Amino acid sequence: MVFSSIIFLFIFLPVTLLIYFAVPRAAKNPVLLIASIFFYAWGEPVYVFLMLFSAVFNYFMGLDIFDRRHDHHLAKNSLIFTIIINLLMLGFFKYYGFAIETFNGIFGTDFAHRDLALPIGISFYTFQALSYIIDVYRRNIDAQRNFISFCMYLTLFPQLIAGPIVKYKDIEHQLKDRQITMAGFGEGVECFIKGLAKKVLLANNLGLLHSAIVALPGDDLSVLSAWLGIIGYTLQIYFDFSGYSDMAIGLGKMLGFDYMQNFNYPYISKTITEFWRRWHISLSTWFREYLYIPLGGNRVPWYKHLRNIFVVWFLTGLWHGASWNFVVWGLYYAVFLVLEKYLLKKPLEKAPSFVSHIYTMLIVTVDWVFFCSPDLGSALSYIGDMFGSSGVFADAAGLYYLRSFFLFLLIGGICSVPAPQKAYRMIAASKPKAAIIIDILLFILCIAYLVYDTYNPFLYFRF
Amino acid sequence: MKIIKIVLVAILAVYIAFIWNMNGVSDRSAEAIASDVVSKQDTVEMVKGNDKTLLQFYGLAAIDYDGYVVWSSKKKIDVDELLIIKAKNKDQINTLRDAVDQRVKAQEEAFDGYGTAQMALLRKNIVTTRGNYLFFAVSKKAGDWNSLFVKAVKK
Repeated sequence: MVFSSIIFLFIFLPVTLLIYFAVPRAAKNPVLLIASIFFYAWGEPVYVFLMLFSAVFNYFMGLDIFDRRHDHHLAKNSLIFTIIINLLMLGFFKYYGFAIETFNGIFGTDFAHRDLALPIGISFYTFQALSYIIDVYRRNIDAQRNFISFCMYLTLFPQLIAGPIVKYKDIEHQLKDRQITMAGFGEGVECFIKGLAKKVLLANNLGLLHSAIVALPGDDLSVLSAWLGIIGYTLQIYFDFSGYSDMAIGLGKMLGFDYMQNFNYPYISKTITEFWRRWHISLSTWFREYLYIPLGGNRVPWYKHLRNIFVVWFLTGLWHGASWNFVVWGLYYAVFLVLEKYLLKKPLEKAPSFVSHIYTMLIVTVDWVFFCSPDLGSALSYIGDMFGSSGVFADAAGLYYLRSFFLFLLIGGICSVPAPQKAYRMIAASKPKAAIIIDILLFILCIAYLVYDTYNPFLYFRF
Repeated sequence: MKIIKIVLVAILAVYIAFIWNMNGVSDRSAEAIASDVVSKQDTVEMVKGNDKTLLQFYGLAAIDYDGYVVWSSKKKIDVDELLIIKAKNKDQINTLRDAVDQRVKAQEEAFDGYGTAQMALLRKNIVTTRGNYLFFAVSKKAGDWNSLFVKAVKK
């Protein structure tokens, strides 16, 4: 079930909200747990068991680590065991085929492997579970003794299948004492509609541009076509993922939860360092807190600092997908983060804003090629086309798609900066009814598109 | 707690074994799978399609996929159809599902109002995906073929 579907918007969500608001406080968590299990099972009737197993396993392990807190050695053993089992589950279902293929590629063997379906959301809920376990071990939090509350935390449907990655310590008190208010509900609805519009009106349409370009016949693209295609994808993935995050945060608010912001206008960044403070914030903070800092962060000799950066970005790339082009995607950022840290920091600070901005968007846009290509060869070929390997700057196809999608590209560019949101806030502050009308019109437009379109999955579902 | 850990790990092992057995699919060609699904007798009243058929019926370009087999009725008045297609990656599966949905809708529009038997058969169409394979059938034998397909992809 996806948020941007008629069945979710008009059946699942209204029914869940009705029951949730009708039951007494003590029953709200069980209601959310049941709704979340139903939500997940709708699309993954077999893998719902894996998700529930993860919840049960990490619940008991959290208690075990907490009860052993006075014996560091025993607690550490339990922590290691828990991390290994969690990573085993993630590794097996997501990376075993990739591991076999890589082994075959390196050693020239021909081991066969079965093609297993990837359980939706496994990367997200596994990382949530690990954050809980590690924070219990670190004594940042007490273990959650209420089984329902813990399972609800791990399986809650707003963030279950595509984030944001919610750290337990950030919502610990909200599990028991969250405030459900009309104002909060209204903010949640507004945030949800904004996210829905980003996904349905912008991401889906901009995605058509990228799909059309990559489907062009022949091996070579003109420079114009190649850039149009990847700019389309650059905007598509931002609106798709940030739209989903907005919907998740909005749903959380409706239910009384406050989740952290996951995207903060990343395409206004002037450095790659800044970009990664604005893009998929919940993931980058997770890696910083649970991997980068424990490795020593930047408080180590320069060669260990380099090691830490490359390890984190190797794993960040791998988290996104079981394929070498995702690893290249991650390591590419590691290179530029190192360059910015050791060489480019001062030049970028002194450069005019537009130069830094162009530099950042160029790096980011080119890297998306690795992200959206089926393999490394295709990615390199596409990048070659972007820089003129075909020998053609602009062809009829490129000009056609430029004309056809110019308006969407313009709207996409405008909506990726804070100005529209600031304008909306001003309208909401001075004329609240006008803001409500805008939201209603956006919602109606989204529904019209959803009824017309048949299938619109989220790109980040594959993680 | 030690017993709980052992039990949980055992449950996980059993579950993984179950998933391995249920979900694992081989890497055989679509032709090889199809040969295990349809017999010569099944296709007496059918004709095997080609790239043009794939494009015409489903809007799919054969070059985008990793093999396929499509059979359709010899007679225009019949709606019997079988498609077994292998995607190059899982991301294509949704496109394939959409394509067969559109095919069923188009056929229903074509026979709406006068082909009650055809409409009944179309409504009982079966679509199954296993790994990178999609199976689509409109036929009285669709159920049998589907069972054979599910067994064939596990080999």
